Amino acid sequence: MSRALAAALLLAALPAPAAQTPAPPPAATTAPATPALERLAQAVATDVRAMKPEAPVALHLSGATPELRRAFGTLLASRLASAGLAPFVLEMLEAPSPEAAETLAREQGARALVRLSLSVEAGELRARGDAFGTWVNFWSGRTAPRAPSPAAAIAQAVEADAAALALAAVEPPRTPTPAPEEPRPLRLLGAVLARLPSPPAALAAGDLDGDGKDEVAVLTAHAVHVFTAEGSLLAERSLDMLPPGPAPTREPFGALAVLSGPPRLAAWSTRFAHGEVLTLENGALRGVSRIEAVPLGPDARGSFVPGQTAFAPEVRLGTGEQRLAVTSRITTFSAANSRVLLVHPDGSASFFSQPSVAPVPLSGLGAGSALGDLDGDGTPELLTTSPELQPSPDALRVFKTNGSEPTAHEPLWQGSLPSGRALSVVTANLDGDKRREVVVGLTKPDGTGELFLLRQGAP
Amino acid sequence: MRLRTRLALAFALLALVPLAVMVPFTLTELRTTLSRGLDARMEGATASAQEAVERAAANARRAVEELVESSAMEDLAREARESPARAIRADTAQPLMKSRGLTVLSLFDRKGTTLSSGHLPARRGDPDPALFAVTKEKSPKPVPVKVAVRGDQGLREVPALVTARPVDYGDSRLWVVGGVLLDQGLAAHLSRLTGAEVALLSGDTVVARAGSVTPPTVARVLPLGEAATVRLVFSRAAEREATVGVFRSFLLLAGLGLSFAVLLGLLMSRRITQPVEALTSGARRVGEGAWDVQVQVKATGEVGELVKTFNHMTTELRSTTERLVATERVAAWQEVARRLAHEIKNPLTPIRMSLETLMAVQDARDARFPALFRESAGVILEEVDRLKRIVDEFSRFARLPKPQLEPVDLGELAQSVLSLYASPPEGISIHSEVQPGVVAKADRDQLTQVLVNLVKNAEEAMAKGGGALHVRVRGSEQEAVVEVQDSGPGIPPEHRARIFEPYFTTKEGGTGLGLAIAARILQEHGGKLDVGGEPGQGACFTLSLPRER
Amino acid sequence: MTLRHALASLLLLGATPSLGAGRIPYGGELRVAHTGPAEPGEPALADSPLEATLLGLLSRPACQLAPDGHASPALARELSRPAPQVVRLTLASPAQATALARAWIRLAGTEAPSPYRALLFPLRGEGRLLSPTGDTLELALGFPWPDMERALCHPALAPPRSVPAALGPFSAVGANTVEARLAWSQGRPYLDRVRLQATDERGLSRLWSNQEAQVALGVLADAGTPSGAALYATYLAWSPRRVPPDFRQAVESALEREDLTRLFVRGPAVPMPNLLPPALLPVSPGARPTPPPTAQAGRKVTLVYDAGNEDQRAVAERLQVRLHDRGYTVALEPLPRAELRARWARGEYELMLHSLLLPPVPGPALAVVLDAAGRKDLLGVELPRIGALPDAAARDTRARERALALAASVPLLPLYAQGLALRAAPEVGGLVFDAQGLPMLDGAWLQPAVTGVPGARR
Repeated sequence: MSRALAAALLLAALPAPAAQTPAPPPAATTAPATPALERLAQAVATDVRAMKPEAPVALHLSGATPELRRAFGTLLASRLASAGLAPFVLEMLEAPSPEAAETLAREQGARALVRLSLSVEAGELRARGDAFGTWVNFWSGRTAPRAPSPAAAIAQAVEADAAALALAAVEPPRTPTPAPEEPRPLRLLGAVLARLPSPPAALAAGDLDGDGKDEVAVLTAHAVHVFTAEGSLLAERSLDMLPPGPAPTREPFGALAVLSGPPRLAAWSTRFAHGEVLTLENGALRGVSRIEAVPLGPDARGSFVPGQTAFAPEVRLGTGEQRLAVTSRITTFSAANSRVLLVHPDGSASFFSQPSVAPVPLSGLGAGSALGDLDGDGTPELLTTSPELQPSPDALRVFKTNGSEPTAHEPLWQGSLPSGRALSVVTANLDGDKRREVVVGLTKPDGTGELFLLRQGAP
Repeated sequence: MRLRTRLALAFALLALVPLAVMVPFTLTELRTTLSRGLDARMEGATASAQEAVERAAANARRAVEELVESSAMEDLAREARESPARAIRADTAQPLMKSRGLTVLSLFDRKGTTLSSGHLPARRGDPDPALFAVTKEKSPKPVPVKVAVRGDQGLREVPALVTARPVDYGDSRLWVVGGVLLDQGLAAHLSRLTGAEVALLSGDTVVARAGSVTPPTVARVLPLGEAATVRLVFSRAAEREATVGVFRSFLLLAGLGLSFAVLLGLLMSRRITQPVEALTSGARRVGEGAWDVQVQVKATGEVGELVKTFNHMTTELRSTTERLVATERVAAWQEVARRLAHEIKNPLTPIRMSLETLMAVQDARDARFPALFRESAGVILEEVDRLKRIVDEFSRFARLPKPQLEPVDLGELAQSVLSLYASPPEGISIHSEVQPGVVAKADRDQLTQVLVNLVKNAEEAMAKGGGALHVRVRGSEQEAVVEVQDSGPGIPPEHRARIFEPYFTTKEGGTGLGLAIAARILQEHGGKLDVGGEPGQGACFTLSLPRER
Repeated sequence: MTLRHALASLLLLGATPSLGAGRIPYGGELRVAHTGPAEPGEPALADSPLEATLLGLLSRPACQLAPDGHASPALARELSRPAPQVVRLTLASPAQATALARAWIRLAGTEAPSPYRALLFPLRGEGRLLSPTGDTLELALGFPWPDMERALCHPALAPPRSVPAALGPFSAVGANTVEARLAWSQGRPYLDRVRLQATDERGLSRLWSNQEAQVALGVLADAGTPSGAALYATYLAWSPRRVPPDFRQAVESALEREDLTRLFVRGPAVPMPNLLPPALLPVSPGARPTPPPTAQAGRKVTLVYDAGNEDQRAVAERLQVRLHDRGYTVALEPLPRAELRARWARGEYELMLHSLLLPPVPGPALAVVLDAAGRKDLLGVELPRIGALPDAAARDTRARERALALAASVPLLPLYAQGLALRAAPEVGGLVFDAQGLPMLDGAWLQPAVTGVPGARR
């Protein structure tokens, strides 16, 4: 019994190449061409039409941000209108609850009511609710019983994209509040930012084109891709002209950093003997020089453990005088606001609140860990994935770093990620505000990769 | 055949006779005893083979019963009830079979399908009606059937003793059919047990054979039901060997006895024949002229007497011969003297007459005296010469030197003599037939003289009428021969006996000593001179010499 | 469960060393027990799935077929097609190019004949005229053959492990131990070393139940036992001149493939009614039973089989029994595999059992089968017609059609196809089969040891 389970686990535990699609997509692509909202509207409209309601149909939407509700309501109404169902949207103010919507719909002469609650969860844009006829039995008169038909439950979900996420993350205009305030609870909504033909080896974010918004750079085993904040491919460059490395790793692994000064990208995949510095010029990446040290961060250098997905336990900061003293190998390096986080392969970590002081040992961290100021308070938060080998699904947790031991406290937020292994996490400022967004690099079970974006959502 | 051999043979024969009588009798007795023993042994072996087969059957029966009772079988039956194909595999039966010492084991389901077979794993899944038929047997004893087993050259049908037992678990039933193959193992076991060559036969085909015996053999057959028979082949070699051994020792004995008898016979005959042989050789030597031979041998009895008599005889013979020789010498000398006297007397008469004539004439003072004197003195001188010649010849005859023997090629000698006659007188032709390489030991000069003498004689014989002179030289094994043949008037038979005597001559002016000297020379050489030829046809002188080896 | 509880338990888990920060852990020694030989022979002869797996630890062919059938470079750094009829292999060193060319020339030549030479048949000169230039090896095709790259991934085309230039994910450090090769072009294996133990079937189950082996290769298939694609196909070949003309009919009628596979063949095996295994050519139901020909007694044939293959022995004995009923006396002659192949090449056999590890692509697989049947003459006819189709699916379909059409005319009777089954302890992760049906031990990894939990396996 347990053996069968183990066998099932074995088969499930396929490493990178385990897919049914015969050939991977030729190049990196952004999220599907049709925006997520339209696809969801189409799916819901199809469901509603299948129910064959009588026109006119009232729509009631709840959840998420008003912008998202409005956008979705408009799209859904247009779909239903084209099917001749004469839809109209019940305003939230008129019907604050779904129960109230039913009465309102009757009052407004709707023959059918579709009540939907919208949400963005785990990278999916979801619409859940019901649809039913509001027809009152004329002969019975007094009461308003529910007609036997039509009636249906609706639950549709599509993969969220950056646009949907942006709608969901729009904050309602708020009256300015006194400054010293209890920090607003952190809430992250996720969506697919981009798809990759092969799993990501390392991520980096920085403003490469000088537009004030960060770009997301991805290192795969053989190439570097740069995506815009909206998830469209800005540039890509193959590294295959570099000489092959003496000790490649089975999994894609490497280091990628946006160097300070004139924006440049330093990339080194373990497939190759050395790294390369790239610049983004006129929408194309161009090699500038070769590098011999592994670029762990903008001003941190390290070296690979040959053949393994780890860095040697020696990190040089700045110009090379300052060294971080750790004893075991490192699988993830992240630095923000002079704080440094080193995650070791066994799930432990060393957290330096200052590079010069002794590190705080942490445990239970995943390889996808990063430091980044998510709430804009000037102190970076600690983001980490699950430390397990086969988490299903993987989860992202966000901890405060103010206290002595960040992970001893409850996380500020935690939520699950789409399927796949989340081995790299980076924070990026994609919209120019103070709060940074989170980009997670996922290794999908079919051997491709995915960038998953998490950003602050409405409370 | 010599007496000695004859005596030895007689002794040997005497020794063989009792053996020849005893050997066949003893051998017959021996054979009878041995074959009686063999028969008893074969009976015993056949019985023990039968017992061994029965014991194997009983063991197989016990093994199958134990197997059926075993917990392993119970487990198998229980598991087979749930999932037959998983519980019973192609290789399930083999370890069960081997652990129980069986050589046949099949597990059948109720319908007779083979679930697993130890002796033929590849039978799995097939029905095996021949083997499954055993389950219908009433008797618990193993029965003989034919079982197919694998071999590298194809399947073989091998007889086996098998028995069947059911194994029930709940409502399911397995049949266990097991037993032992009557195969090489059993054959080897039986062979060891009986010391015979054992062949297991299925019908007419031999399925197993073990042991080997040396011929000649005798076979016994032990039937095992219809499926098989056991044939035991016993060797008669031991019996034969014993007989041959006895025969051989007899032969050895005979050989020894024979050689002893021969030895003894030789010794005895030697004792007997030694004086006889001594006498024989003595007699031979006497024959050869050694008359003073005395046989020096110890002998008693009749033979001793004989020896004594022989010795006496030779003594007598010697004295007699000596007397005879003396007498003959006297006679010869008398003859010689007579002849010599005669020869000498012949010229005396003319001498006397001449002298008397002269004296008479002188007395008469005849004028013719000087002439007559001359004439008479001539006659006297002539006659004195003649006398001188006679005396010379005689002294030469008496003074013949001892021949100096050396190898002489007679052909060459004859040719050299004939070359003196290279131009023979008118009317005479000379022919020579010479066999080359005829060599004899001779005094060359003397032999030349003999030949010259003979050739001259022949020439003189043909001086009047002419003719042909043939000289032949030939050799036989023993002697070398020279023939001188003429075609003259020949020699009358009455002269033949005398021509070799001295002073016998038929010729005018011959001294009569030529042939006598020739005969004497040849005698000195150990050869001889013969005369042949018919009167009127010519004479033939044959000169024989012992051949030089 | 409250959030606090969840967090507490998560932290508790985080404290145990079994966690690996999400990345696959490196290190450890994997104890592998197997029923194969201690020392696998040269690639063309070590062609049972188990032997090919063991050989693949130390010597890999130019490429490897991923589970999805995609060819990725293994020994070669790169496979490319500079021209439609030229396949270019770029290797790490000229020595490797030479070694590979030499291994293929040997395979295609007459020195060590093997049916796998058919994989190289589309090459110009049938693979006998290879000459590397530096570290590249250019293969000129005699006719269009788009499946060439995938055919080159067959394990029999790996260089012999004795060649210094042979490379695999592991390197041998002792008689039974292989160690991860740091410089392996596909990345160092996660394991530090693999300790191999050759044993028999009983030894395997003993080692497994005593937990002395973490992976048992070549186990009997049970429900739920992972096993690779059944591509190790066994055929009965005969020499048409030496057996009676109705021999095929006799065998077809005498032999029940289902029974044969179920009752006499071990391991994961499937009956194979067509020339290609069911994994390549799905079995269409409704095979008609063949009426038995009139049995004639006293026909004697000799069946040669592989002395090192226990299943062949069982099948040979089964054939002996079944053909006995059809009047054939079948003499059995076990031969070493090399001798068997030599007899095959000389055509000196009456009956022969062939076990071949077929490539997971129908076209090349058909080529190997036709060559094994002694119909090398058909390759020049059939392969160009298959290779002429540019679409991979169409090619596969054409190959399947030809396999069905040719089945009756080749002196070869398909019997069954086998795969390789394994058991792995729960602490072994990442163990999957490639498209050839061989387990990829280089992708396996060990969970860091859980201390103080005895009997963790059951």
